[in-house]
Amino acid sequence: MTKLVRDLMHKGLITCPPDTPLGQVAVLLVENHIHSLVITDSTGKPVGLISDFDLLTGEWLSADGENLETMKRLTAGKLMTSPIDTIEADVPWQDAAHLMLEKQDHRLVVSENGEAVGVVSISDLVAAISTQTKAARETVSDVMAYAFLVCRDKTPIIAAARIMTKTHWRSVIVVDINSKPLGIVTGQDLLWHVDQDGVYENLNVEDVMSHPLSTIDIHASLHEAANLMIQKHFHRLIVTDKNEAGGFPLGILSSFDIVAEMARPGSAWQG
Amino acid sequence: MNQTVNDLMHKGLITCHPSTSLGQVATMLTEHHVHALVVAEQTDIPLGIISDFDLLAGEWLSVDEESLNTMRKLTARDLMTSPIETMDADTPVSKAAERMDKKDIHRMLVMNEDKPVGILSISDLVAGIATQEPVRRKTVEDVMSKTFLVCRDDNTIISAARTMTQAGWRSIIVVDAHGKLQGVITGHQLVHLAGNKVAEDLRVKDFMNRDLITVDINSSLQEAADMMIQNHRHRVVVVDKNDPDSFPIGVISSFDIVAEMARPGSIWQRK
Repeated sequence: MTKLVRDLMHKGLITCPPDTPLGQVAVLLVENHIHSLVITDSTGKPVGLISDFDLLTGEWLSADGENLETMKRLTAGKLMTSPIDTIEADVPWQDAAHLMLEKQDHRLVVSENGEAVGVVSISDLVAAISTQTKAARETVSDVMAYAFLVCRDKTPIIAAARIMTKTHWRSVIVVDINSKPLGIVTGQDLLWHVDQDGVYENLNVEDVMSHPLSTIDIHASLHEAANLMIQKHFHRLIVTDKNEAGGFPLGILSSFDIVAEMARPGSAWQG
Repeated sequence: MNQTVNDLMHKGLITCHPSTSLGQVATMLTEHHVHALVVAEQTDIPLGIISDFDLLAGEWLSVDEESLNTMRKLTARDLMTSPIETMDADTPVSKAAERMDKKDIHRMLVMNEDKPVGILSISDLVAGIATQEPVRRKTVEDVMSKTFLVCRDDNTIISAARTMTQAGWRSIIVVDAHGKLQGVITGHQLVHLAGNKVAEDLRVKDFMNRDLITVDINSSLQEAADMMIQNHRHRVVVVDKNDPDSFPIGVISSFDIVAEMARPGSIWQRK
């Protein structure tokens, strides 16, 4: 079944008028966790898009005081990309991809009956690709996460906490300058360092991480993995390949990955 | 700073009835993106708490059809942790962290005048730590992400798309089996695949961008912005120019720079 643009798009528009100052555009992007605003005229008609990338021009010119004053007077209307490329809501999602490639766009305004009803972005297309995964549940390799958060050993713990919070990710693998895995930082490791005055600014992940890493072979069964987690009270295991000693980790398996598999329609636990 | 539990907790409870099946609990955890449910017959009288980790016992026993049938009959009541640890909403954050650490628990029920009003989890404490990041804006180091997503080059494209979507992140740094930097994969590249069935064996290394653009950690933000505009990149990899072959220090994106523009007190926000 072919998905339509309507199925993928972010419904509704987050807009600002053309006379919005750039500093305000930045605030709107950050507060809404989005990468672009739709600029609408006084009748509500979309006339352009302004993205985080467009704002870089502002940063670029803010080197000296004089330029900065000029830039501060600039508005969304001056830096926006216009006209907007639009796509119909009821066309197949391939068409959106093709149009983005052709026009070098990162997002398109979606219209229905001549009215703008949403935005479809590259991230929405990535989300659609990610659902094409096969349904299997036997080994660690079937449910693990193959990409994971990583940082160098000298990273301040506050910086790690910020990205963990932003991504809703619950652990970070710590590596040294030569890519060698040294340990893992989880929320639990950070608990020790919450006190009345906050957290020591100069504390790095290497000072708080847990090590050695608890690992599991990528070919192990989920049953073995769950068993190990329960016995050792581990909430996650680092996935390695026993035929490849000393290799960079392949991924992470968490208790939540196993539960997500239980929740999948058609799994042994459903129906 | 004297933050209390009330400042950081997740307000409200996501509950399930004690008779809820484990498969249903798994579905609720996944749909709400939470790691635990409060088990209660009436909202004001919680009986216990059930987490993804508690459900592992289910996975552990699902080895043959007979025990799977037994497990299917189990409910939230059978696997929940009870009684629940509670604390008052006005408890200082440091005290809460200390108790969670001592008791080796991941979350507590927050009470206000003997009524449950929310949950405080380790992730909430991590978010509290994240807000303490010092504000500076001069060099790449001040605004970059020192923690980032990484994956091996022989992973599938679909698995990479899945993690990008889950984490709300827009790029993955790609390394080989030795952890050596190979390239980057971004949503922008994946657009080429959108709309079609993606081959299950299509690898990150077949598709990544090997033409990496790097910036030195001590460069100014203007230099980074300049580099992004000229090369039309939305992010560049941060390295130490004195040690170019080492594991990357981080990533800086156009959004990081815009977030800095949006910060109260930045030169863009002052009148």
